[in-house]
Amino acid sequence: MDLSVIVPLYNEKENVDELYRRIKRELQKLSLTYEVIFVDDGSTDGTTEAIKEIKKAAPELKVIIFNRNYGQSEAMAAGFEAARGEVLVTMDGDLQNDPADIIRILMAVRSGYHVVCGWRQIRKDNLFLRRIPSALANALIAYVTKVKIRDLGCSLKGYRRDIIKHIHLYSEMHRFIPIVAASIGSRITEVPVSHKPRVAGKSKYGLSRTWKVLLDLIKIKLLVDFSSKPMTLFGLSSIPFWFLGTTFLGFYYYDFLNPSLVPDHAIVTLGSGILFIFLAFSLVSFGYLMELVIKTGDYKQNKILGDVSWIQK
Amino acid sequence: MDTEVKIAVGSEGIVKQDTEISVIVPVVERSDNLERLFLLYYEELSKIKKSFEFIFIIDARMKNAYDEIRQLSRKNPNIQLIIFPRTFGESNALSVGFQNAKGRYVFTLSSYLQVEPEETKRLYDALNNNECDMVICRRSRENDAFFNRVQTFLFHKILRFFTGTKFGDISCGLRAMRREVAEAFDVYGDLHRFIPILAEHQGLRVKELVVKQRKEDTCLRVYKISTYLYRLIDIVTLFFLLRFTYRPMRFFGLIGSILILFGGAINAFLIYNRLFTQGFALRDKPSLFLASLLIVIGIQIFAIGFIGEIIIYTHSKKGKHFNVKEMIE
Repeated sequence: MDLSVIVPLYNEKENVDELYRRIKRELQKLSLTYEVIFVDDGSTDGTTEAIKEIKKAAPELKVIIFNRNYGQSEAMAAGFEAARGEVLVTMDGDLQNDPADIIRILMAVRSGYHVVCGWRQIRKDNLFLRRIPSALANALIAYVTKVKIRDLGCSLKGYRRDIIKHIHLYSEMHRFIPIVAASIGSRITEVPVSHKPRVAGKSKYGLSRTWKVLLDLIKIKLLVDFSSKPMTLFGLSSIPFWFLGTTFLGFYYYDFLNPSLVPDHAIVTLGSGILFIFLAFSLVSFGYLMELVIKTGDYKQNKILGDVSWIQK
Repeated sequence: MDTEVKIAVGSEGIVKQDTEISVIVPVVERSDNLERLFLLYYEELSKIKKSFEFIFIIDARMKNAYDEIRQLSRKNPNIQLIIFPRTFGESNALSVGFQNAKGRYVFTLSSYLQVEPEETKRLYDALNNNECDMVICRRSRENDAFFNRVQTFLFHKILRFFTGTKFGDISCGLRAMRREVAEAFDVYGDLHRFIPILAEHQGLRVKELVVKQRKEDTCLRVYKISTYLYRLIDIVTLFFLLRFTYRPMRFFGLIGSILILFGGAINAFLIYNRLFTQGFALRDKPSLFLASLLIVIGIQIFAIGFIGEIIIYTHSKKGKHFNVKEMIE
C-alpha cells in the first residue's frame, strides 16, 4: 500500500462526513493504493456512530474506536500501529487542513524526506489566543532544539514508514515527533499548506497549555540529548555544586582558622557547603541509576541506528 | 513471583470447557467458616443453572484453612485448590486466580461473608446483559457499626480527592468481570483493592450495584494503626500511577522548578546585597541556608521527574497505554 492517512477524531460529528468525502475526492485523482484511518478518541457527541455509518460504504476506511478519551498522541500511535502504507500522513479532523495538501506532503516524502511538516503560512485563527503564542513557542522550540521548523503545531505531517516505528508516542509527544526523528538522523523538510477557519465543532486548545509546553520542551531537549548518556548530563550539572559546596566550606574553614573574626552564625556557611556537596553527590548517583535504566530499556540509539535504512552501510 | 505454586485440582483435574463462572476466593487474612461460605454461594450459583468452578487460593499464613478446603474439594468436583508455599498476599492470590480461571465470567469473593449470597444473581445478570465489563458491590450499611461507616466514609473521601473516583465501596470483595478483563489485569502489591478504579482508568465500563450487607460483616472492625497508614500510602501510589505514569515531569518538574526559582530568588537578593550594600554579611543569614536548601531539594525533585521520563522513554515499548474498544477494517 502506498499511503495511509491517519485522522484522530475527538467530538467532530459535524465534520467527519465532509472530511471523508474530501479526502476521498483528492486521493482518487491519483493512481495509488491508499487507506484512511479514523481514530475515534472516546468521542461523546455521536462521532462514533457517524464514522460507523461512513464505514459501511467505504472499504478503504479503517476505524479504530478507543474505549475512553486518551489524547491525540495515543490516537496517532494507534493509527500508526494499524497503518499499512509506505507513507503515513496525519491530519486534524476539524477540516482546517485541506485534504488537497496530502498530495504535496506525499510528494515531498517520496522525494526523499523522512519527515515532512505542513507549514500554515497564512493561519485563520485568533491572533492573540492562537497565532502569537504559537509563533513564540515555535521560535523557542527551534532555538532550543536546533530543529528549524516554523510550524510544529500543524497536524498535517507526513512520515516514511521506517522512521515511525522507532518513535513511541505517549502523553502529547506527537507535537515533538520531528525533533525525536531528527535525533536519529532523519531528513526533515517543510511544505507550505493552506489553512481554513473552523466552521463547525469546537477547538480543544487554550492558553492554559503554556507551562505544559514549556515543561515538555525541557523534557524533550533533555531526552533527545541525554537519554543515551545520562551520566554526562547529571555529571555536568553536578559540577557547579561541587564548586559551590567547596567554596562555602572554604569560607567556613577560613573563619575557623581566624577565631577572632567568627560571628555567631558561621554554621550557615558550613551547612550550605555540606548541602551543596550532598546535592552534587546525589546527582552523580542519579546519573549512575539512569545508566542502569537505559541498559535494561528498549530505546537505544545505537540499536535504532543499526536498523534505520538511511544510514550508509 | 515464586513459581513453586502447588496446584491440587479436585476430581482428576477435569475442568469443563464451557465453564460459565469462575469464583476466585483468596484466603489470605481472615476467614469465616469456609465450608459455610462455599455452600451458601454454591447454592445461589446452582440456581443460575450454568456450570461453574470455585478456585480457592490459600496463602501460607492461612495453613489451618487448608485441611478444611481439602476435605471440601474431595467431596466437591467444582473446587480447584491452589496453595502458596509462602505468604504472597491478596494481589498475588488474585493474579494466580485470574490466570487459572476458565469461566466466561470471573467472580472474586472475599473469604468472609460480606454480601448476601442471593445478590450474585444480580451481578451475573448485569454482566450477562452486557451492561458493563465489571460489576462491583456497594454494601448498604444501614445496620453497620457506626465506626465502620465512619472509616469507610473517610477512606472514600480521601480516595475521591486523589483519584476522582465516584465509587463508594471500593474494598468490597465481591466483584464480577468478564474473563478478558481479569486476564488483562496486572495487580501487584496492594493494588487489588483498587481493581475497579484501575479498570475505569483503562476505559472499561464499571457498574456499582447496591447490595445487602451480610449480618456477619456489620461487626465492629478496628485495624492496627499500621493498616490505616498502609491504606493511605496505597492511595498515594495509585494517585501517581493513574495521573503521572506517562508524564512524571508534569508533577515533579513543576514542583522542582517552583522550588528552584523560589530559592534562587532569595539567594540572588542576598548576594546582590552582599555585593552592593555596606556591612551586609552572609554568614549570619539563616535565609541563605534556607534558600540553598530549597534549591537543593528543587533540583533533586526535578531530577527525579527526569529519571521518571527516561524510564518511560526507554521502556515505553513494553507498556500498553491505550485500549481499543473496536476496530473495523
